[in-house]
Amino acid sequence: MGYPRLVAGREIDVVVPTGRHGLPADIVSEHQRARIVAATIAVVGAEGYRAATVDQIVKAAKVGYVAFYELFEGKEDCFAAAFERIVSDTRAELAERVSTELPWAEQIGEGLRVLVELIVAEPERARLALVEAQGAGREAYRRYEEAMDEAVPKLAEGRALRAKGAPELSVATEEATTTGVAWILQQMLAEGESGSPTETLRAATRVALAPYLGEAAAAKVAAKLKAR
Amino acid sequence: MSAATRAALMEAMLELVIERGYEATSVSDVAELAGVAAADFDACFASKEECAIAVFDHFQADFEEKVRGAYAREPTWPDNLRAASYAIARWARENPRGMKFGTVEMMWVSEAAQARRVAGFETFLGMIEAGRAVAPDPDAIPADTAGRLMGSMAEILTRRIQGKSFDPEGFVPELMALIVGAYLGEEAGARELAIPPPPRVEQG
Repeated sequence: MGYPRLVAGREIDVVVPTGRHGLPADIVSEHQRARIVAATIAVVGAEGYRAATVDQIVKAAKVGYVAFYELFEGKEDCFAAAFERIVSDTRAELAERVSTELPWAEQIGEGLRVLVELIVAEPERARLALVEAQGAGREAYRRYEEAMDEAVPKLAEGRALRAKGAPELSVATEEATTTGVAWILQQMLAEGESGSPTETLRAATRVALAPYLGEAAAAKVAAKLKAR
Repeated sequence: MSAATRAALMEAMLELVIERGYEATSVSDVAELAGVAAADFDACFASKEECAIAVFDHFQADFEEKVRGAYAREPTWPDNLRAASYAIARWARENPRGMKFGTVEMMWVSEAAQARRVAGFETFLGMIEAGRAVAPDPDAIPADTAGRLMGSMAEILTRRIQGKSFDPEGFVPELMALIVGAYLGEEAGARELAIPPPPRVEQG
């Protein structure tokens, strides 16, 4: 996905030369910002939000304290930037890899496959967004909730597919799906290497589809899915 | 240090954390609001965290007693789970600050506090999983269903409690429909939506 993702986390080695280099100031600060965000993901992903310090982040980002505090107010602030970065990358990944031409149930399954594969590929990012965001204070929790809620309209499309005269659904159905899927994904993260991505993907898909398609049909769609 | 001082400090901690959050609450603020010297705080609690956890434990004991009691008074599932859910709702109505402190604020106190908060939610795992014994097809229900539902309920409650117009009793049928639906099927789940709340019993 090119430049923005490159600077966001993978290529921490893209170093802007220190000292006099004649690059425009806004480009330098954009680079530094990206390096700090990448370092925040690495440090918080490894240490947890509470244990992580600005000190560790500054060292990992190879920037000075002055540069850090010119760009961020503190740990909470750079955490928020890291969280937003991960959410916008995930949103872009979903838009790119899940075709809205697919039938609804397959869109949900494919979307979950993208999420599971991102967690496997980038557990530090996943830990920051799925686990640490809940313990990082009111503002971070609010952002976490908002990100979860982005899935609600897509899930609720399933309501139109229910048979006529099907029993009424709880108003909290979609919320139970997003929080339930988050729980399943958090379990996979906690299990680390021992967790099975494909099992996780199938469990999450069943939970997401069952309210609309019924258990049997949901299980059938889920059984076809595989996570790489 | 007297029990009264300890209680006053815990009350002040509760008040300030609800008002401005744990991070922004200092030991000296707590002592000042309680009307005692900072040294009295140190005599009662080893740290700000210890005081916050004491506040949680105080509420949790009463909360668990009420909820378990309600569950035990009904012989069958899901009637017992519904009774427990209404006990939670009633407790939340009577102790709004305690509910918010235990469900929301404890997340941000410390790792140890978060572990206690989660353990508090896990009180309900067995009450939820008891649905398997009366399910028409127990083997078809995934093994982690109770864990997932509990995780989900915990988060939904955490969200609702932070909202402006949370109606705990009004929300019970919605949550019951989700849990009962997962164990007994969607028809049974939908029936929960039509069951009215029990009449309010005035505690005397």
